[in-house]
This record gives sequence, structure tokens and C-alpha cells, in this order.
Amino acid sequence: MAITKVLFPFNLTGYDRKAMDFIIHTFSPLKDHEITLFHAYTPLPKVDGSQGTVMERLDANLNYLSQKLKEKELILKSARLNLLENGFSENQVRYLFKPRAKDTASEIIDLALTGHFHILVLNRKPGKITRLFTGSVLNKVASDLSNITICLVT
Amino acid sequence: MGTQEKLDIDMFKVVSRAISESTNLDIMANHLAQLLTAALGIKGCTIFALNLETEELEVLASFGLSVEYMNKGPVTAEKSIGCTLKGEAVVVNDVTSSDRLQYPEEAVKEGVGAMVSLPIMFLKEAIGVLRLYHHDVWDISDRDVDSLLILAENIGLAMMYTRLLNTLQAINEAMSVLPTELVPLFGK
Repeated sequence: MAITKVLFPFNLTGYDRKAMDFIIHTFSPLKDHEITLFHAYTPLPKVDGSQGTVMERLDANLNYLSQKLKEKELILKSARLNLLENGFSENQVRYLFKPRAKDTASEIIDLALTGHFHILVLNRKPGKITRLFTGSVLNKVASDLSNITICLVT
Repeated sequence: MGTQEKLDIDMFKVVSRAISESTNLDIMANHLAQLLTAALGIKGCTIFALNLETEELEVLASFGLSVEYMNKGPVTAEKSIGCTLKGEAVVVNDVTSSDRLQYPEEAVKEGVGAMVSLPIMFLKEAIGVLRLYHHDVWDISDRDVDSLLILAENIGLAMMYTRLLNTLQAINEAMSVLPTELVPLFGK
């Protein structure tokens, strides 16, 4: 049976819930669909080691930062569980939590291409001003990807 | 809790470099939120952009706060420590005794004890807010507030620079799909 691969970039906002509902309603009856939840987090900044005293002072609090990143991964795991509780089987749902080196759109494009995904589910809040500063993920993804179905949840 | 300075010149250099050495606003803003959280030993940090149409503050980057707190509802510029947008730094030493917060109950539930809100200015206009959240009651030193105001100005510059860059890229893309016979008209 040919598998249809669905990529769901999960950005830990209230809009994820809508997209999650869409995925459950649309894909859970389809046993040949595989969902990948994806979150690319900003890794902790590298601090110049020569700044000795600063490093010592920051080190004390870096554990707290690491713990906060782990909490994000837990949210992604719980989103996976939510899909499992709503009709998906174990082998249908994966998650990928990775540090990012590029902007969000480029990370999504890279994964969609290398992972040979067929469907991409994005969510989008209309009229956001932050898009003017960081650029539109949807515009970049839609212009750079071909042969992929993009579902947009607003 | 004393008013010891935490952002000395060495720490300020480390945090400033996060701004100057990044080519991506999204990553830069997130690194800045992480570094300020670690440098000040606080609970978290959020960088907002001001949406003049909706008069809401939109999250550009955030660190240390729960998803539930981040999704508590729209942050209205005027109701949420509104003086910040007039260019003032506002220190809420104790959230339980302040009437300046839009979501005081949610802040307490989140474990926020104090907040510092600083304007992000560009050409004397507020374009965003830098907000810091402490676990406990917080007496931040005046000098740290001054350092944070300078950092916020630098964030404003970085934000407007990337906004201009994005605009130019959008114009470039629009020009690339113009019929070739129309292109010379824009050169005149």
C-alpha cells in the first residue's frame, strides 16, 4: 500500500488546535496516511568561551533554558498522543523536534523535499504584523515547493 | 531582593552580539529572549510587535512562558501596561498589587511575580515592546533598565531593517513577473 506522507509544522500556538482538528477529521479514517508533527526550535545561543565570568553567570541559568526546551518537546509528544487517541495508529504518527539553522519556512521546505512529503498542513492567522518583519512562511513555502498539496487552516 | 546590577558591560556585550551577529530576525529575537532570561535570572521574556490596525501586541519571539499563558487572549496595547507605548519603561514590581495588567489572574497562575515592560522605538515611534517576567517580586536596578532601553532601541533597528529587506524582496518578486514591455517604465 502506497503511503501518503503528511507534514504538519507545529508552532505551539492556539492555531495548532484548529489544524489538529482538521487533520483528525480529514486523515484519521485514511489508514494509508502518515502524519509527521514537526517543530524546529531555536537552539540555545552559543556564548564566546573567552567571556569567562559571563559564562559562569550564564551557566547557572542555562539549565533552566534547557529545561524549557524539553517542555516544548513534551508538548509535541502530547500532540502526538492526541492524534493516537483520535483514530490514528502508532505507526501512522511521528514527530520531529530539531534545532533550526534557518528561518522557519526554509526548515519546512527542506524537510518537505528530503522527506518526500505529499501534503503540507499549515495554519495562518490573517493580518499579522509580525509577518512584515519575519516574512511570510506561506508565501515562501508555496513559491518554493512544487508537486505538494498545501492545506491552509485559518 | 536587592537592586544589584546584572547587565554589566560584559553581559551587555554578549547580549548585543546576539543582535548584531544574526542574519535572521526570528532567530535573533529568540536568542535575545533566551539570553536575557539567562542573564537576568528571570522566568522569561517576550518581544512583541505593535499592530497599529488592531492595536494589539503580537508575539515576535518568546521564551520561558507556557503555551497556555501565551494563548491567553489578544494583548491589547492600551490595556496591557499601556504607558510603555508612550516611550516609558514600566516596572511592575508586584503583579498582585498592580492595576496595569490586562490579564492579572493569568499572570499569577503562570507564576509571574513581576514584569518590566520597555518600548521598542524607531524614529521616536513605538513599534513594539520588550517584556521581562520574573518569578518573584522584582526590584530591578535603574541602570539595568537603562541598559534594556538601549537594547530595545537596537531591536527596533533590527526589526525595521528586516522589514525593509522583506519589502524590497517583495517588490523584486513583483517586478520579476511584470510583462517585459512594462519594466522600462519603472526605470524612468
